[in-house]
Amino acid sequence: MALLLAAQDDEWGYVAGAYGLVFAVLVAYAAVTIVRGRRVGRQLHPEDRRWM
Amino acid sequence: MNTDTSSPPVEGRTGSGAAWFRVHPQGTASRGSRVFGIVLAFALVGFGAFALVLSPADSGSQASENEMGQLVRIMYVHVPVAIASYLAFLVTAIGSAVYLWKKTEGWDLLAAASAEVGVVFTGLTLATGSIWGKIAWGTWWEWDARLTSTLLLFVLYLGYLALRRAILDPVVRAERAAIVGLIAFANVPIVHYSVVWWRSLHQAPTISRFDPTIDGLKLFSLLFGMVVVQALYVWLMMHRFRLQYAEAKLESLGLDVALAERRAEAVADTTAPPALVGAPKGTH
Repeated sequence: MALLLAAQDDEWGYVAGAYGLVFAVLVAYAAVTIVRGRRVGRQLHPEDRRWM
Repeated sequence: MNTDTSSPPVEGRTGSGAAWFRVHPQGTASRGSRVFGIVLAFALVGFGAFALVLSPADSGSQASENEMGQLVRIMYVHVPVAIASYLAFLVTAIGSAVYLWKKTEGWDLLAAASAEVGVVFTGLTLATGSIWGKIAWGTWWEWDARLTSTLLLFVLYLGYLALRRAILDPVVRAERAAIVGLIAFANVPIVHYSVVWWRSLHQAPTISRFDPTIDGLKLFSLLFGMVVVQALYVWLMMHRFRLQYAEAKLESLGLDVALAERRAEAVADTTAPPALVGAPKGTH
């Protein structure tokens, strides 16, 4: 039983690692894209930002 | 060149909660993408609750279970990011094909934006698969058909992005990238069917048939994850495509300015009095 619980704890570490990695990478990518968008958008005329 | 067009932030609405809907005036967000993003954030929290808390571990006690324990939870995120990478590269292939047919810049921009998002999702597919493999197979990496073909897919689209950076002429870049975008997509069905065509450590498809090997809350968590991650792809694409469009616009403005300067220099050279052309400094 103890071995089974230890194995489960070990598995939770890998599960947390997988979800943490996905979350961190996607948040970082979204943030970088949005910041780049603001930096480039600042140099354009408002009429060139057609989505606004 | 900097044509700064600073202006105060646009207020989406007033009163409590207004900040949630406030859109940066120079950014890639619009009212629609902001609302979509907020709904998506709540959906992601819901997905996390189902994937990590509400769905049970795979105990192997029922016929539909595979004794994967808590590891089954990795599948709820691994499979959706893999499907999102397929979708991203499909959009790149469609954008590339339509660009080659119609020569419309927008399709090239769509293909480029989707390829970058696809590379991010493919990287996450490899990483989550590797974490799974470490505990399920005892190794971080195995030169198995599925893993190897997925790594090749990742490298192919990194090459696609590198090619786009290497060519300065926008038309030549778009044409060559479109050809690479179409050829690279041939690897997607190879990745997907690799577990069927070759002997593989990787398990066979879980739900791409009429009798899925999981059921109940586990199946729901996987399907919910697929919907949420594909929606996340759409949201990322809204921002990434607008960024690609803005960068192309800026590039074309820069080219226009450079061309105008070159033309002005050429006109000045031809209209200058012959006696002054090439005259030493201080002689007139």
